[in-house]
Amino acid sequence: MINVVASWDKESGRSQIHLVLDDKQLPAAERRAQVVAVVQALEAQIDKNRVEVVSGVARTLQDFRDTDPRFLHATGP
Amino acid sequence: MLDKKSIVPKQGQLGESGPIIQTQADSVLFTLSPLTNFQTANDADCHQPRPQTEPEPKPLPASASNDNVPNAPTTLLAMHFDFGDSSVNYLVDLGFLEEKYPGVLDRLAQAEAEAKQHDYDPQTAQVLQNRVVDNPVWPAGSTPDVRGKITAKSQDLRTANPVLNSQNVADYDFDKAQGAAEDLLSKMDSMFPSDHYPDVKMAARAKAPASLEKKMEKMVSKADDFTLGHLTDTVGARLDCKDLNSLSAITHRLEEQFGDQLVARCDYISNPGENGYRAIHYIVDLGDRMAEIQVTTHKLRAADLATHDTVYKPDIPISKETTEKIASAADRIMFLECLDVLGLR
Repeated sequence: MINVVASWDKESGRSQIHLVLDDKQLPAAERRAQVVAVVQALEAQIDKNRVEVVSGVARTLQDFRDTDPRFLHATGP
Repeated sequence: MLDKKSIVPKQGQLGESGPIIQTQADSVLFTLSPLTNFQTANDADCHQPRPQTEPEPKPLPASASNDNVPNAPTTLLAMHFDFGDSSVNYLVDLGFLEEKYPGVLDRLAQAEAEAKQHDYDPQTAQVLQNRVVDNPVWPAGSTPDVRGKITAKSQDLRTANPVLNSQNVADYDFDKAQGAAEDLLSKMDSMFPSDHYPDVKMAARAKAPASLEKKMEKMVSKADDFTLGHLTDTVGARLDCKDLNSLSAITHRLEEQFGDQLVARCDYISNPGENGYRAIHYIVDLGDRMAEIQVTTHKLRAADLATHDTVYKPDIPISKETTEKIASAADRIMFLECLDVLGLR
Protein backbone atom coordinates (compact mmCIF):
# COMPACT_ATOMS: atom_id res chain seq x y z
CA MET A 1 0.00 0.00 0.00
CA ILE A 2 1.14 3.51 -0.70
CA ASN A 3 0.20 6.92 0.65
CA VAL A 4 -0.03 9.68 -1.92
CA VAL A 5 -0.30 13.42 -1.54
CA ALA A 6 -1.32 15.20 -4.72
CA SER A 7 -2.73 18.55 -5.72
CA TRP A 8 -5.13 19.64 -8.39
CA ASP A 9 -5.46 23.14 -9.77
CA LYS A 10 -9.00 23.35 -10.99
CA GLU A 11 -8.36 26.49 -13.03
CA SER A 12 -5.33 25.33 -14.98
CA GLY A 13 -6.11 21.61 -14.84
CA ARG A 14 -2.56 21.04 -13.64
CA SER A 15 -2.07 18.19 -11.24
CA GLN A 16 0.98 17.19 -9.32
CA ILE A 17 1.97 14.30 -7.13
CA HIS A 18 4.03 15.57 -4.22
CA LEU A 19 4.63 12.55 -2.05
CA VAL A 20 4.50 8.78 -2.38
CA LEU A 21 5.29 6.60 0.60
CA ASP A 22 5.40 2.84 0.58
CA ASP A 23 4.19 0.99 3.65
CA LYS A 24 6.98 -1.54 3.14
CA GLN A 25 9.51 1.18 3.87
CA LEU A 26 7.93 3.20 6.65
CA PRO A 27 5.78 2.36 9.65
CA ALA A 28 2.22 3.65 9.65
CA ALA A 29 2.69 6.39 12.25
CA GLU A 30 5.66 7.85 10.43
CA ARG A 31 3.95 7.67 7.07
CA ARG A 32 0.91 9.46 8.36
CA ALA A 33 3.01 12.09 10.10
CA GLN A 34 4.79 12.83 6.83
CA VAL A 35 1.50 12.97 4.96
CA VAL A 36 0.01 15.38 7.47
CA ALA A 37 3.11 17.58 7.34
CA VAL A 38 3.14 17.74 3.54
CA VAL A 39 -0.60 18.39 3.32
CA GLN A 40 -0.35 21.18 5.89
CA ALA A 41 2.62 22.73 4.10
CA LEU A 42 0.82 22.64 0.77
CA GLU A 43 -2.41 24.01 2.14
CA ALA A 44 -0.51 26.88 3.72
CA GLN A 45 0.76 27.91 0.27
CA ILE A 46 -2.17 27.43 -2.03
CA ASP A 47 -5.26 29.37 -2.96
CA LYS A 48 -7.77 27.01 -1.38
CA ASN A 49 -10.52 28.09 -3.72
CA ARG A 50 -8.42 27.10 -6.67
CA VAL A 51 -6.23 24.21 -5.62
CA GLU A 52 -7.34 21.05 -3.87
CA VAL A 53 -4.90 18.90 -1.96
CA VAL A 54 -5.73 15.21 -1.98
CA SER A 55 -4.41 12.65 0.44
CA GLY A 56 -4.92 9.15 -0.84
CA VAL A 57 -4.01 5.54 -0.24
CA ALA A 58 -3.87 2.91 -2.94
CA ARG A 59 -2.27 -0.38 -3.76
CA THR A 60 -0.22 1.24 -6.50
CA LEU A 61 0.33 4.72 -7.88
CA GLN A 62 -1.38 3.58 -11.08
CA ASP A 63 -4.48 2.64 -9.10
CA PHE A 64 -4.47 6.09 -7.56
CA ARG A 65 -4.22 7.68 -11.00
CA ASP A 66 -6.79 5.43 -12.64
CA THR A 67 -9.44 5.92 -9.99
CA ASP A 68 -9.09 9.69 -9.97
CA PRO A 69 -8.81 10.94 -13.54
CA ARG A 70 -7.59 14.31 -12.36
CA PHE A 71 -4.23 12.69 -11.67
CA LEU A 72 -3.97 10.50 -14.73
CA HIS A 73 -1.27 12.74 -16.16
CA ALA A 74 -0.02 14.30 -12.96
CA THR A 75 3.62 15.24 -12.80
CA GLY A 76 5.95 14.23 -9.99
CA PRO A 77 6.88 13.28 -7.44
CA MET B 1 -36.12 -8.90 -35.93
CA LEU B 2 -34.93 -9.92 -32.52
CA ASP B 3 -37.46 -9.33 -29.85
CA LYS B 4 -35.16 -7.64 -27.41
CA LYS B 5 -37.66 -8.13 -24.62
CA SER B 6 -36.93 -11.81 -24.81
CA ILE B 7 -33.30 -11.29 -23.94
CA VAL B 8 -32.69 -12.04 -20.33
CA PRO B 9 -29.28 -12.73 -18.90
CA LYS B 10 -29.01 -16.07 -17.24
CA GLN B 11 -29.57 -16.04 -13.52
CA GLY B 12 -26.39 -16.28 -11.53
CA GLN B 13 -24.27 -13.93 -13.50
CA LEU B 14 -25.03 -11.16 -15.85
CA GLY B 15 -24.44 -12.36 -19.35
CA GLU B 16 -23.17 -15.73 -18.23
CA SER B 17 -23.15 -18.32 -20.96
CA GLY B 18 -26.43 -20.12 -21.30
CA PRO B 19 -28.47 -21.90 -23.92
CA ILE B 20 -28.50 -20.31 -27.35
CA ILE B 21 -31.44 -18.10 -27.93
CA GLN B 22 -33.50 -19.02 -30.97
CA THR B 23 -33.95 -15.90 -32.94
CA GLN B 24 -33.81 -14.39 -36.38
CA ALA B 25 -30.30 -13.25 -35.79
CA ASP B 26 -29.82 -11.91 -39.28
CA SER B 27 -32.21 -9.08 -38.84
CA VAL B 28 -31.40 -7.82 -35.40
CA LEU B 29 -30.63 -4.26 -34.63
CA PHE B 30 -27.15 -5.06 -33.41
CA THR B 31 -24.17 -6.79 -34.80
CA LEU B 32 -24.58 -9.88 -32.74
CA SER B 33 -21.63 -11.79 -31.50
CA PRO B 34 -22.18 -15.54 -31.38
CA LEU B 35 -25.34 -15.93 -29.39
CA THR B 36 -24.03 -18.00 -26.57
CA ASN B 37 -24.98 -15.80 -23.69
CA PHE B 38 -28.72 -15.80 -23.59
CA GLN B 39 -31.76 -17.65 -22.66
CA THR B 40 -35.21 -16.83 -23.81
CA ALA B 41 -37.52 -15.35 -21.24
CA ASN B 42 -39.48 -18.57 -21.40
CA ASP B 43 -36.66 -20.73 -20.13
CA ALA B 44 -37.62 -22.24 -16.84
CA ASP B 45 -34.62 -21.15 -14.84
CA CYS B 46 -34.69 -17.56 -15.99
CA HIS B 47 -35.63 -14.96 -13.50
CA GLN B 48 -38.93 -13.29 -14.02
CA PRO B 49 -38.48 -9.94 -15.60
CA ARG B 50 -40.70 -7.12 -14.51
CA PRO B 51 -42.68 -6.40 -17.65
CA GLN B 52 -45.56 -4.85 -15.75
CA THR B 53 -43.34 -2.13 -14.47
CA GLU B 54 -41.34 -1.67 -17.65
CA PRO B 55 -40.57 2.01 -17.59
CA GLU B 56 -41.08 4.01 -20.69
CA PRO B 57 -37.81 4.52 -22.52
CA LYS B 58 -36.33 7.85 -21.60
CA PRO B 59 -36.26 9.80 -24.84
CA LEU B 60 -33.39 12.14 -25.40
CA PRO B 61 -33.96 15.29 -27.36
CA ALA B 62 -32.79 15.36 -30.92
CA SER B 63 -29.94 17.64 -30.04
CA ALA B 64 -28.61 15.10 -27.59
CA SER B 65 -29.18 11.96 -29.55
CA ASN B 66 -27.80 13.07 -32.88
CA ASP B 67 -24.93 15.38 -32.17
CA ASN B 68 -21.41 14.32 -31.66
CA VAL B 69 -20.85 14.94 -28.00
CA PRO B 70 -17.36 16.32 -28.14
CA ASN B 71 -18.04 19.33 -30.26
CA ALA B 72 -15.93 22.30 -31.07
CA PRO B 73 -13.55 23.23 -28.29
CA THR B 74 -15.53 26.30 -27.42
CA THR B 75 -18.73 24.42 -26.68
CA LEU B 76 -19.88 24.91 -23.14
CA LEU B 77 -21.15 21.94 -21.26
CA ALA B 78 -23.37 22.40 -18.28
CA MET B 79 -23.59 20.00 -15.41
CA HIS B 80 -25.85 19.67 -12.50
CA PHE B 81 -24.77 17.99 -9.30
CA ASP B 82 -27.36 16.93 -6.78
CA PHE B 83 -26.01 16.35 -3.31
CA GLY B 84 -29.35 15.34 -1.83
CA ASP B 85 -29.82 18.38 0.32
CA SER B 86 -28.24 20.78 -2.10
CA SER B 87 -27.33 21.08 -5.73
CA VAL B 88 -25.02 23.13 -7.87
CA ASN B 89 -24.70 23.92 -11.53
CA TYR B 90 -21.43 24.20 -13.39
CA LEU B 91 -20.47 25.32 -16.84
CA VAL B 92 -17.49 23.71 -18.45
CA ASP B 93 -15.72 24.68 -21.61
CA LEU B 94 -14.96 21.59 -23.63
CA GLY B 95 -11.61 22.95 -24.75
CA PHE B 96 -10.78 23.60 -21.15
CA LEU B 97 -11.95 20.12 -20.32
CA GLU B 98 -9.58 18.64 -22.88
CA GLU B 99 -6.75 20.70 -21.47
CA LYS B 100 -7.49 19.44 -17.98
CA TYR B 101 -8.06 15.84 -18.91
CA PRO B 102 -5.92 15.07 -21.94
CA GLY B 103 -7.65 12.49 -24.06
CA VAL B 104 -11.07 12.84 -22.50
CA LEU B 105 -12.71 14.11 -25.66
CA ASP B 106 -11.09 11.33 -27.66
CA ARG B 107 -12.47 8.79 -25.23
CA LEU B 108 -15.94 10.24 -25.40
CA ALA B 109 -15.73 10.47 -29.19
CA GLN B 110 -14.63 6.86 -29.32
CA ALA B 111 -17.63 5.84 -27.24
CA GLU B 112 -19.85 7.89 -29.52
CA ALA B 113 -18.45 6.21 -32.62
CA GLU B 114 -18.61 2.72 -31.14
CA ALA B 115 -22.19 3.25 -30.00
CA LYS B 116 -23.10 4.48 -33.47
CA GLN B 117 -21.60 1.35 -35.00
CA HIS B 118 -24.00 -0.64 -32.90
CA ASP B 119 -27.02 1.42 -33.92
CA TYR B 120 -27.30 3.30 -30.68
CA ASP B 121 -30.65 4.78 -30.01
CA PRO B 122 -31.92 5.98 -26.64
CA GLN B 123 -34.90 3.64 -26.54
CA THR B 124 -32.83 0.54 -27.25
CA ALA B 125 -30.25 1.68 -24.73
CA GLN B 126 -32.96 2.02 -22.12
CA VAL B 127 -34.37 -1.42 -22.92
CA LEU B 128 -30.92 -2.97 -22.59
CA GLN B 129 -30.24 -1.15 -19.35
CA ASN B 130 -33.55 -2.45 -18.02
CA ARG B 131 -32.51 -5.98 -19.02
CA VAL B 132 -29.33 -5.59 -17.02
CA VAL B 133 -30.74 -3.99 -13.91
CA ASP B 134 -33.81 -6.23 -13.84
CA ASN B 135 -31.59 -9.26 -13.43
CA PRO B 136 -31.76 -10.63 -9.90
CA VAL B 137 -27.99 -10.53 -9.56
CA TRP B 138 -27.98 -6.79 -10.09
CA PRO B 139 -27.58 -4.80 -6.87
CA ALA B 140 -30.87 -3.18 -7.66
CA GLY B 141 -32.12 0.01 -6.29
CA SER B 142 -31.27 2.47 -3.62
CA THR B 143 -31.91 1.97 0.04
CA PRO B 144 -35.27 3.45 0.98
CA ASP B 145 -34.96 6.71 2.91
CA VAL B 146 -31.21 7.10 2.43
CA ARG B 147 -31.19 10.50 4.12
CA GLY B 148 -33.10 9.21 7.12
CA LYS B 149 -30.69 6.32 7.55
CA ILE B 150 -27.67 8.61 7.32
CA THR B 151 -29.22 11.01 9.82
CA ALA B 152 -29.92 8.17 12.25
CA LYS B 153 -26.38 6.85 11.91
CA SER B 154 -24.98 10.33 12.38
CA GLN B 155 -26.96 10.61 15.61
CA ASP B 156 -25.51 7.31 16.84
CA LEU B 157 -21.98 8.41 16.03
CA ARG B 158 -22.40 11.80 17.70
CA THR B 159 -23.83 10.20 20.82
CA ALA B 160 -20.89 7.82 21.03
CA ASN B 161 -18.33 10.50 20.24
CA PRO B 162 -19.43 13.99 21.34
CA VAL B 163 -16.60 15.75 19.50
CA LEU B 164 -18.54 14.97 16.34
CA ASN B 165 -21.17 17.45 17.52
CA SER B 166 -18.66 20.17 16.77
CA GLN B 167 -18.79 22.50 13.80
CA ASN B 168 -15.24 23.59 14.44
CA VAL B 169 -12.90 22.28 11.76
CA ALA B 170 -10.07 22.35 14.31
CA ASP B 171 -11.78 19.34 15.87
CA TYR B 172 -11.26 17.35 12.68
CA ASP B 173 -8.50 14.83 13.27
CA PHE B 174 -6.88 14.48 9.85
CA ASP B 175 -4.33 11.98 11.07
CA LYS B 176 -7.10 9.75 12.36
CA ALA B 177 -9.03 10.11 9.11
CA GLN B 178 -5.87 9.06 7.30
CA GLY B 179 -5.73 5.93 9.44
CA ALA B 180 -9.39 5.21 8.72
CA ALA B 181 -8.75 5.54 4.98
CA GLU B 182 -5.84 3.11 5.24
CA ASP B 183 -7.97 0.64 7.18
CA LEU B 184 -10.76 0.91 4.63
CA LEU B 185 -8.37 0.26 1.75
CA SER B 186 -6.85 -2.71 3.59
CA LYS B 187 -10.30 -4.15 4.12
CA MET B 188 -11.22 -3.69 0.48
CA ASP B 189 -7.87 -5.14 -0.56
CA SER B 190 -8.52 -8.26 1.49
CA MET B 191 -11.98 -8.58 -0.09
CA PHE B 192 -10.64 -8.15 -3.61
CA PRO B 193 -7.00 -9.25 -3.70
CA SER B 194 -5.28 -8.27 -6.92
CA ASP B 195 -4.31 -11.85 -7.79
CA HIS B 196 -7.98 -12.84 -7.89
CA TYR B 197 -9.32 -9.51 -9.13
CA PRO B 198 -6.58 -8.22 -11.45
CA ASP B 199 -8.90 -5.77 -13.20
CA VAL B 200 -10.15 -4.09 -10.05
CA LYS B 201 -8.62 -0.73 -9.25
CA MET B 202 -9.12 0.81 -5.86
CA ALA B 203 -8.05 3.80 -3.83
CA ALA B 204 -9.20 5.60 -0.72
CA ARG B 205 -8.61 9.08 0.58
CA ALA B 206 -9.03 11.16 3.68
CA LYS B 207 -10.46 14.60 3.22
CA ALA B 208 -7.70 17.14 3.61
CA PRO B 209 -8.32 19.90 6.17
CA ALA B 210 -8.89 22.69 3.64
CA SER B 211 -11.44 20.62 1.73
CA LEU B 212 -13.17 19.81 4.97
CA GLU B 213 -13.27 23.47 5.90
CA LYS B 214 -14.87 24.38 2.59
CA LYS B 215 -17.38 21.59 2.90
CA MET B 216 -18.31 22.57 6.44
CA GLU B 217 -18.72 26.21 5.45
CA LYS B 218 -21.02 25.20 2.65
CA MET B 219 -23.08 22.76 4.68
CA VAL B 220 -23.42 24.97 7.74
CA SER B 221 -24.60 27.81 5.53
CA LYS B 222 -27.41 25.52 4.42
CA ALA B 223 -28.21 23.92 7.76
CA ASP B 224 -26.98 25.67 10.87
CA ASP B 225 -27.07 22.48 12.94
CA PHE B 226 -24.75 20.62 10.56
CA THR B 227 -21.79 19.09 12.41
CA LEU B 228 -18.71 17.01 11.72
CA GLY B 229 -20.76 13.96 12.61
CA HIS B 230 -23.09 14.55 9.68
CA LEU B 231 -20.31 14.20 7.12
CA THR B 232 -20.27 10.97 5.16
CA ASP B 233 -17.12 11.62 3.16
CA THR B 234 -14.24 12.48 5.45
CA VAL B 235 -13.10 9.12 4.16
CA GLY B 236 -13.98 7.93 0.68
CA ALA B 237 -13.03 5.07 -1.57
CA ARG B 238 -13.38 4.21 -5.21
CA LEU B 239 -13.48 0.80 -6.70
CA ASP B 240 -13.44 0.51 -10.47
CA CYS B 241 -14.31 -2.79 -12.15
CA LYS B 242 -13.74 -4.25 -15.58
CA ASP B 243 -17.38 -4.35 -16.60
CA LEU B 244 -20.94 -4.60 -15.31
CA ASN B 245 -20.58 -8.33 -14.68
CA SER B 246 -17.63 -7.67 -12.47
CA LEU B 247 -19.41 -4.75 -10.82
CA SER B 248 -22.36 -6.96 -10.01
CA ALA B 249 -20.19 -9.62 -8.40
CA ILE B 250 -18.09 -7.10 -6.53
CA THR B 251 -20.99 -5.17 -5.10
CA HIS B 252 -22.55 -8.40 -3.84
CA ARG B 253 -19.33 -9.37 -2.14
CA LEU B 254 -18.86 -5.91 -0.76
CA GLU B 255 -22.37 -5.88 0.72
CA GLU B 256 -21.87 -9.33 2.17
CA GLN B 257 -18.55 -8.37 3.75
CA PHE B 258 -19.66 -5.04 5.17
CA GLY B 259 -22.91 -6.55 6.43
CA ASP B 260 -24.36 -4.46 9.24
CA GLN B 261 -21.82 -1.73 8.58
CA LEU B 262 -23.73 -0.77 5.45
CA VAL B 263 -25.79 2.32 6.12
CA ALA B 264 -27.17 2.94 2.66
CA ARG B 265 -26.79 2.19 -1.02
CA CYS B 266 -27.51 4.60 -3.86
CA ASP B 267 -27.89 2.99 -7.26
CA TYR B 268 -26.96 5.67 -9.77
CA ILE B 269 -26.65 3.07 -12.51
CA SER B 270 -30.29 2.06 -12.56
CA ASN B 271 -31.16 5.70 -11.95
CA PRO B 272 -28.37 7.84 -13.36
CA GLY B 273 -28.04 11.45 -12.44
CA GLU B 274 -29.14 14.18 -14.76
CA ASN B 275 -25.57 14.47 -16.04
CA GLY B 276 -25.46 10.75 -16.80
CA TYR B 277 -23.18 9.90 -13.90
CA ARG B 278 -23.38 6.20 -13.14
CA ALA B 279 -22.02 4.33 -10.14
CA ILE B 280 -23.18 2.46 -7.08
CA HIS B 281 -22.51 4.44 -3.91
CA TYR B 282 -22.37 2.96 -0.46
CA ILE B 283 -22.33 4.73 2.87
CA VAL B 284 -20.62 2.52 5.42
CA ASP B 285 -20.17 2.84 9.15
CA LEU B 286 -16.51 2.71 10.14
CA GLY B 287 -17.25 2.98 13.85
CA ASP B 288 -15.99 6.50 14.38
CA ARG B 289 -17.35 7.99 11.16
CA MET B 290 -19.23 7.24 7.97
CA ALA B 291 -17.40 6.71 4.71
CA GLU B 292 -18.49 6.64 1.11
CA ILE B 293 -17.51 3.92 -1.35
CA GLN B 294 -18.14 4.47 -5.05
CA VAL B 295 -18.17 1.48 -7.38
CA THR B 296 -18.24 1.83 -11.13
CA THR B 297 -16.59 0.44 -14.27
CA HIS B 298 -13.49 1.64 -16.07
CA LYS B 299 -15.58 2.75 -19.04
CA LEU B 300 -18.11 4.60 -16.94
CA ARG B 301 -15.24 6.28 -15.14
CA ALA B 302 -14.34 7.74 -18.53
CA ALA B 303 -17.73 9.41 -18.60
CA ASP B 304 -17.09 10.61 -15.09
CA LEU B 305 -14.04 12.37 -16.49
CA ALA B 306 -16.39 14.84 -18.02
CA THR B 307 -18.38 15.46 -14.89
CA HIS B 308 -15.87 15.40 -12.12
CA ASP B 309 -14.55 18.57 -10.57
CA THR B 310 -14.62 20.43 -13.81
CA VAL B 311 -15.80 23.54 -12.14
CA TYR B 312 -15.33 26.47 -14.40
CA LYS B 313 -17.88 29.15 -13.83
CA PRO B 314 -20.22 28.16 -11.06
CA ASP B 315 -23.59 29.80 -10.64
CA ILE B 316 -24.12 30.51 -14.32
CA PRO B 317 -27.56 29.40 -15.41
CA ILE B 318 -27.45 26.31 -17.57
CA SER B 319 -29.55 25.18 -20.45
CA LYS B 320 -31.23 21.81 -20.43
CA GLU B 321 -29.80 21.09 -23.84
CA THR B 322 -26.19 21.26 -22.71
CA THR B 323 -26.91 19.18 -19.63
CA GLU B 324 -28.40 16.53 -21.85
CA LYS B 325 -25.39 16.62 -24.10
CA ILE B 326 -22.99 15.40 -21.49
CA ALA B 327 -25.56 12.92 -20.24
CA SER B 328 -25.82 11.52 -23.74
CA ALA B 329 -22.11 10.65 -23.72
CA ALA B 330 -22.57 8.73 -20.51
CA ASP B 331 -25.69 7.07 -21.95
CA ARG B 332 -23.68 5.83 -24.91
CA ILE B 333 -20.97 4.43 -22.70
CA MET B 334 -23.61 2.65 -20.64
CA PHE B 335 -25.09 1.30 -23.87
CA LEU B 336 -21.70 -0.19 -24.75
CA GLU B 337 -21.42 -1.68 -21.27
CA CYS B 338 -24.83 -3.27 -21.70
CA LEU B 339 -23.91 -4.67 -25.12
CA ASP B 340 -20.82 -6.20 -23.54
CA VAL B 341 -22.53 -7.69 -20.53
CA LEU B 342 -25.35 -9.06 -22.65
CA GLY B 343 -22.87 -10.47 -25.16
CA LEU B 344 -24.23 -8.38 -27.99
CA ARG B 345 -20.92 -7.33 -29.46
